[in-house]
Order: sequence, then C-alpha cells, then structure tokens
Amino acid sequence: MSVASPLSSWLFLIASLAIAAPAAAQTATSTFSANLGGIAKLSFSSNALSFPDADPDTVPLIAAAGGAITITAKARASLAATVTLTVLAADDLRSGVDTIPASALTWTGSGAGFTNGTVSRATPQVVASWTGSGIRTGTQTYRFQNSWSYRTGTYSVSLLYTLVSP
Amino acid sequence: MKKAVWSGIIAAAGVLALSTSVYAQQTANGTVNVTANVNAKAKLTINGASAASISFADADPDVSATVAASPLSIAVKARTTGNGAVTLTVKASQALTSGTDTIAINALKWSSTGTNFALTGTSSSTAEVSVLSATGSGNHTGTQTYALDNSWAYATGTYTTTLTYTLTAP
Repeated sequence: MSVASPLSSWLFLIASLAIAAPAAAQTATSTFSANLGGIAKLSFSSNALSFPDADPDTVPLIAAAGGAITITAKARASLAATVTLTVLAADDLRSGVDTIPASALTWTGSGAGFTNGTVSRATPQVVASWTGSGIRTGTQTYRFQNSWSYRTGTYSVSLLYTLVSP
Repeated sequence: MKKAVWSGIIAAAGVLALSTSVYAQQTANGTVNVTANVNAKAKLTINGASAASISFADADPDVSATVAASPLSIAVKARTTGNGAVTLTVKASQALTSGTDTIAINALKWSSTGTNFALTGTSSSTAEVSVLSATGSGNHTGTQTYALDNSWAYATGTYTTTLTYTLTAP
C-alpha cells in the first residue's frame, strides 16, 4: 500500500465533506481567523528643538523656538496592556568639552496619557502611557533652564524616544 | 486509506500549531535633536541698580584723616568661555571738582570685600583701575567702600566726579 501525501489527504477530506452534505439542509460554519500581532509606530511633528540665547535674569526658562512637538504614537496591544512612551538623553548637552546637565531640559505634556517631566541621561523618563491599542496624539513643550554659570557655546544632545507595546 | 486520513489530520494539527499567534513586545524608536545657544553676557549692578551715588560728610581733618562713604554692593554676572577673563574696572571722569576748585582724584580710595575683588584701590581719571578679576562664567558679589583723604588744604565746596565701571566678559 502506498502512503498518501498530506496534500492528497486534505483534498480527500474536503471532497468527502462536500459530497456528504445535502444541498437543501446545508449549514456552514466559517471561522475567520486574523492574526493581529503587536505593532508600534512613532512620529513627531519635528525632529529638531532649538533654544535661543536669553538673559538668565529675564528668561530663567527658555522655550523652544519651534514651540511644542506633536507626538503621534500608534500601538496595537492586548486589551489591558500598558503602552509606554519614554525619552532618554543620549548624553548631557555638550559643546566641545563643556557640558550642561540633561536635566536642564524639562517638558510639559498635554494630551491624554501625556505627563510632565525632566530629561535624564541615565534613566528613561515616561512621556506618556496608555492602556490597549489605539492612536494617541499629544504635545511636549520643552524648556531649557537658563543660567549665568553656563559657558558660552552651542550645546546639543539627542533625545531618544522609545514606544513599547507589550 | 485509513493511514492517509490520519496523515491528513496530523498535517492539519501541524498547520494549526504553526498558525498559533506568538505575541512579542513591539517597540518603535524616534530621535529629537536638541540645540541650545548660550552666548556671552555681562551684567553689573551697584546697590541693585545700574547707577548709584556716594557722598562724604564734612569732617575735621585732625579727627578724621579719611572720610568713609557707605559701602557699595556690587553684583557681577558674566557668561563667557571656560577660560574667559571677566574683569571689572573703574575710571573717574575727572578730578573731584567744585567750580574751579579740584581735589586730586587719587584722594579717593577704596577697599573691597568679596572673592576675586581687589582688596584696595586708588581712583584714576587716566587709567582703568581693576575692581574685580575672575575666570569663567558665574556670579560675583562684593562690597566696595570708598574713602576720601581729608585735608586742611582743600578749598570749601561740594566736589563731584563720576566713576564709570566697565564689566568685560569675552
């Protein structure tokens, strides 16, 4: 006896089911299955923040020249899963060998799930968190702590955002 | 034939097993680049303002060889490079003058307190005289107390001059 291949077995099974059911009393159950895996997307209205020079006495907190950044986070997660957006500075603000602590950058958040915070180069700080799937939009308004003690220069740092959808 | 059916069922089970969803944590990343401009600045206040005045009371030269004025509170704020030299100097516009009478400006001396402040100095109308010398950005506060040499030789009058302070932070 020859051994039938799995494909021929499937064809036989489908053919048998089709022949066995009388047309007039036929009921059919169709099970639809869609595999929706987790997915996360993150976008910003701008990928650059610039703080102008200012007198520390009159402007102790400098607002970014471009205003607030609008963040759009798209996440697909399980029903009760917590979706989290964090930010971490790659370094302190740096101008050559001169530095300003990353904590000189603070922000206020607006939009559901968005929080206020202070940038850290050591620990990711929560920008926003939500429960379950969805598209969330909010803003982050950054401010730069001004000081007479800073050395002159053009300081820069990269802020790394991570959206996690478990 | 029976074996073929079982093979089909096993194959179907295999397909179902393979199609079972495996949910892994998903992440998305983004970067925002930050630039902050910090320019050189200098700010000077004397007694909390940009201008102040001092006055010396009349006194008997035998009793008071010098007459002191109330101390001036000097606040310096400077933002500069790491090794930038912050200097505060003072220069008199002219000798102490009352009409046509004068008292030499070097009769006006001072003593100071505060880190980086010159301890003492003598006024000049021809050269800048150092009051403060510091390095780098930051705040500096101190006091400067002027004293006028008293003398029987002075003609009576109300003598005035203007002292101009210059703060430099490169």
